[in-house]
Amino acid sequence: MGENVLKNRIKVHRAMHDWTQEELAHRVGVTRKTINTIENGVYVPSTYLALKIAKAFGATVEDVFQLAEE
Amino acid sequence: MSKAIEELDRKRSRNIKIYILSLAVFLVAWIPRLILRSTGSFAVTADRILIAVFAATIPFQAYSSLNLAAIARKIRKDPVLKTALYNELYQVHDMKAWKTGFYSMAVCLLVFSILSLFLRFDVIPVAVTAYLIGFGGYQISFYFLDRG
Repeated sequence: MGENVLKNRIKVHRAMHDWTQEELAHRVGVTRKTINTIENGVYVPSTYLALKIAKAFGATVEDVFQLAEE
Repeated sequence: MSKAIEELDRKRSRNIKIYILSLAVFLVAWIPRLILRSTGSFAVTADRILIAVFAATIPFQAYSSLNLAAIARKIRKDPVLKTALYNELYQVHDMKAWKTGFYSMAVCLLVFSILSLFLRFDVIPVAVTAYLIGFGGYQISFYFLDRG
């Protein structure tokens, strides 16, 4: 059985809202660097931050983050 | 506000970089001097050159340390800056960097413990070296983690 990895659709949601990483970072209250590392899958955010990101997009957390098998 | 956050973040990284580079040059001169002095056969000219090299880095270390302290003070005072710049990713990097700093210091003390079987060292310079390597290890680790 493959290992589960956390995928995200932050880039897609940002494009839909026409937001830069900096704009999203400002809305969530973190730095652009933090958004960048999450978006690129380098860092797995806490539940709290994941919920804040989803809320900023007006989406559910499952819309933004998905568990996928590698 | 987001511009101010990004600017402070860049400024913090830039000062850490200055600190790391100046500390690295300092240690490159400081450690050989410490070891060579303990051998007892150390030319005065070589000693003066090494002193000049590590002394030249002190203003850069002081400048970057003071800047980092000023940035930290500014962040602590403003709740918005504090939330953004001390966010969870920063805390994860900070924790990992402390671990690296601790291991760096432990390895440094281990190396000096082994060397002390053959050479005679003063306690204070060795303690200063261990502290500087520990703190340097923290800063280097944090810089590279934060740079991603």
